[in-house]
Amino acid sequence: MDILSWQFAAFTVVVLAIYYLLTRRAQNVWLLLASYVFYLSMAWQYLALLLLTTVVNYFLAWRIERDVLDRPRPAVGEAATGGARSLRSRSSPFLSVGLLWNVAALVLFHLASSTYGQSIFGSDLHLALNPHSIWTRFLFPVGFSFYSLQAISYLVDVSRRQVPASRDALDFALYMAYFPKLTAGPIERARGFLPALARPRRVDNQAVTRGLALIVTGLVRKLVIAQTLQQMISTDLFKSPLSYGGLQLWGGILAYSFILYNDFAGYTSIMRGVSALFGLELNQNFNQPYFSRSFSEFWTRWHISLSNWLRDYIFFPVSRTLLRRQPNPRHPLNLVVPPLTTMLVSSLWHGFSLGMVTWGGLHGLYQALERLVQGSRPRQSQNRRPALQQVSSALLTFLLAMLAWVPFATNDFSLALQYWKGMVLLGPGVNAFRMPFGWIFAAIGLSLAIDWAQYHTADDVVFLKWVRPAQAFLLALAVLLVLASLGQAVDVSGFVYQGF
Amino acid sequence: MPFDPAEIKPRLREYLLTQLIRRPDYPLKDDEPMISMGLIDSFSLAQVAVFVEDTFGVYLPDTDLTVDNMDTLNQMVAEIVRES
Repeated sequence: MDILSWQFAAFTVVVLAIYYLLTRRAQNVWLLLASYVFYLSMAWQYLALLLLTTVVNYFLAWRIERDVLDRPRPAVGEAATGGARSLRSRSSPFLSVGLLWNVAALVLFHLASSTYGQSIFGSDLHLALNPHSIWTRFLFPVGFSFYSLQAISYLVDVSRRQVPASRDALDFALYMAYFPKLTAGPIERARGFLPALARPRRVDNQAVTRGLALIVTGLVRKLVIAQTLQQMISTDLFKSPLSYGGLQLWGGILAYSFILYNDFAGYTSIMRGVSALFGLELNQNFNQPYFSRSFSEFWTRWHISLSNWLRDYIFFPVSRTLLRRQPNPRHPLNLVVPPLTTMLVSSLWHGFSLGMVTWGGLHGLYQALERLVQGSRPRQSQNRRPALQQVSSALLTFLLAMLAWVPFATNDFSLALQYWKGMVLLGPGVNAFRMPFGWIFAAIGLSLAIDWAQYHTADDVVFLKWVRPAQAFLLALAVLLVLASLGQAVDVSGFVYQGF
Repeated sequence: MPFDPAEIKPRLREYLLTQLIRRPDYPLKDDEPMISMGLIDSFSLAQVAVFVEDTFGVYLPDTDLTVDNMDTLNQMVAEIVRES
């Protein structure tokens, strides 16, 4: 069942209608059943893997908690005398088992879908990639990359006593399977989501209005902006960049930057809106990232749930370990290794290819260079810098991020090199495809207008605070644009991040 | 027994001003947002965590090093007291 389909809309309406009649506990049972039906509609193999992952992690957490609770909590001040290191060493061996299980599965599935995997596993796997083979669906489970990170964070948090191991199998299963976040996040943490499942939900008119506003905003981003931009760039721009002229390559990557952003932000907005109708808040995943004035700011605004996960489970542990070995925070080791390691992990999570590693490596390098350039200079609040400085920083950050999207889009290092070369040489190209720059800028302008309205009010549904006539006009315009986009005979069913 | 905030605040303030903000005379208010206003970045919180461990013997979990918990000096102190 595709998210952007009448089937999904009808499914959601039916689930909601019955949901509102139920008690809190029955609501959780109903949501779990609905989530499994949703996943089953894609492939039974996906559901089988999800059930296995849920059961394994559920019982591992119990075992981990038992081991951790058997050891006394450290006394105050013990961290300073090496207690922190002993704290970290007080984890259960079952945590290692759990991490190995989840990470190994992630690696296996990513390898299976990469060209490296096909060369490692040989022709048997290649033959098994027959779309009619039952094994194929096991190897490419939609959503696994997302819910496996949830499982990992859950096990680590249990081992650190930050969340108790769930004794409610149903709620835990729902935490793993909840359909609005199942296929492409946001990646929710158990310490916030499990208590929310245990609380009564109150869905008043305000919540419904907010949910619908998020859905409409998401549809505009996905259908009006992302899908329209997608049609304006040639389908083989990133597969045969040498045949395109410099202007087309610049226009193409500019358009791609906004396609990727609006596609994913659109999906998240729709799912947050759907979830709001159930009285369950999903975390914000995008916060106008292209207005960032530095890369450290960019990674607090782009794919926030993944960035926060990487920060908490990769960046901070690596940083703290290195600071213990080399206390000078401005030592190159401390400046370079943590961001590079974090972005390498991020790139491999997105895909096992040199293209992805190049993308991640560039972002790691950008962050390391920022900190090197900052050096020992006094810090100043970004918001207090002159407006011109802030704008130029934002433009530079966007330009560098856009250039880094090239290997992400090509998913191939040599194609990325060809693409960049074409951008620098600005040749005429041989491909006759004419890019409609006017429409591209119009679509980008709409994206920036939505972002600006959200940015300076820090409210992603700021439109609800406008006067009624303005709201009505905006809603009518949004519906018109969405219907006009749907009227074009293109496939609107997929979201880019469902492929990760 | 948890720490007294009055013991923590001046030492933490001095560390922030000299090591992270690098402006010893900056008039940092107790409730002034540092991370959300871009005065320090969230990645500097790793340094804060190590300083807190070494100085007060309190371990701050990685997942607590967030804007919600550590944006202002008051919030940082409250987090240290909570974890002590």
